[in-house]
Amino acid sequence: MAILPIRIYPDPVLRVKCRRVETFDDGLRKLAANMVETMHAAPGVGLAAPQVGVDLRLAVVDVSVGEDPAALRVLVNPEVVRREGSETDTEGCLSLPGITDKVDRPLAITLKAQNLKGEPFELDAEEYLARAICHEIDHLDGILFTDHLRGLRKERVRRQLKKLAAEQEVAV
Amino acid sequence: MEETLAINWFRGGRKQQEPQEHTIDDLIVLERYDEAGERLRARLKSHPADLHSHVKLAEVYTQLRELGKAVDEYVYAAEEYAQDGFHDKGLALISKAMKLAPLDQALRFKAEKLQRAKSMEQVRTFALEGLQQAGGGLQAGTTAVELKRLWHHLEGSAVVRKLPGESLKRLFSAMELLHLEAGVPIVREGSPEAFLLLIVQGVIEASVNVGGRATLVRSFSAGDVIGEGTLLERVPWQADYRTAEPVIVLKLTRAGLESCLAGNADPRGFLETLREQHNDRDVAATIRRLRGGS
Repeated sequence: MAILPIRIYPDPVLRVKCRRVETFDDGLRKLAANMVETMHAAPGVGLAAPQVGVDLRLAVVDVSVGEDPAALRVLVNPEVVRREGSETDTEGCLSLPGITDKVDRPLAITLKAQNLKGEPFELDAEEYLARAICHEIDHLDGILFTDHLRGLRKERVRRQLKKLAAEQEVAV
Repeated sequence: MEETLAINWFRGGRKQQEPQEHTIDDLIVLERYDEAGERLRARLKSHPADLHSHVKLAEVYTQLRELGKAVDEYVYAAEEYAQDGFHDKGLALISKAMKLAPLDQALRFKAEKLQRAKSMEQVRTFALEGLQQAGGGLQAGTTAVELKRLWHHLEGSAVVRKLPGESLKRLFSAMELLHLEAGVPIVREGSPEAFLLLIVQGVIEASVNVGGRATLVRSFSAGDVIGEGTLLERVPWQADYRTAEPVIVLKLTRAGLESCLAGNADPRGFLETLREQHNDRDVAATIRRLRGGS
């Protein structure tokens, strides 16, 4: 297993609408394992494939950040089929280091996805887990949490993104 | 090796991947304003009512120092927002346009117009709450649409224009909404009955007997107040009042007036606004002239 480099804004791969996973092979399993390791090392509670440069609908979520193996979720081709309520809370993103802001998300969701063998399953998630899953699914559609901000928050985050983009340019 | 796998997957996927495109917001962040402007104009061609895009385009024009175009976009968005009831948003956008064109008098007028509309909107909200209570007693089924219709008839009234929203709500809450048929006598000349009517819809006529004949003194219509002299100055009614057509009125009695004044932050201003109507006084003056000449 390996820790993959995390793509940072404004890397265009973060804006890709990812393709559905159609082949459930060792390559996919290896990628998922690497993503889990990368997420835990970061540390983060979720990571989507485009964040490591892969345009596939694959995400890993672990709200325990490695503390509880049962909390790890690997989501292939995930799709939210039910949303309930709404809650505003602070979010960050491994691809937007140093930027956090409040985002509205559903309080509870029902998710349809496949596991690494391609077997479909349903998952009910609430609160923080629901938030993390929605955040990762957004990544699969090329959406960043900052895209949900409006007004003054948007203005503020735009300045932060500008700074981040400038830092990335220097780094390159 | 691992990174190669990721990159291979990303670049060499089985299907042709969609072209990667920055969002318009990204282009603005990356200061690629020409591209952002192009994308925004294209978007507005297909979605001309997308106000977010108009505002973004204004920001882009500002960065490109195309200030005239930026002002146009801000003004368009401001007026559209205000029309939808978002007056604060409209004012904020006009204010941005004014910063770009500080000498443009037309923008100042637009800002004043929006400010007036915003104040009226606040008054309207209060007034509708008050009207709901006024209608509650007799017309438990007064619907939101009916309330808005009532407000539409009243918004031109001098009383409505002068009273602050909170006072208007107090006034309407203390009033009783009445529906009267045509030809209904309201009050007789000389009656000391203390009440005031604010006409919402229809016409009320004041007439007196001059030389043995009923003579029309004056007609009152939507927005007019009658009876202010009787209620506030305890002067008896100076004429016979009757409805000339089906009428909707708001009636304020002495008890209602007292409830309006209790806890009112500006009771003097409130009474002054009602007193300023002068309709009873004008009727009395006309009658004096009519009778003096007979």
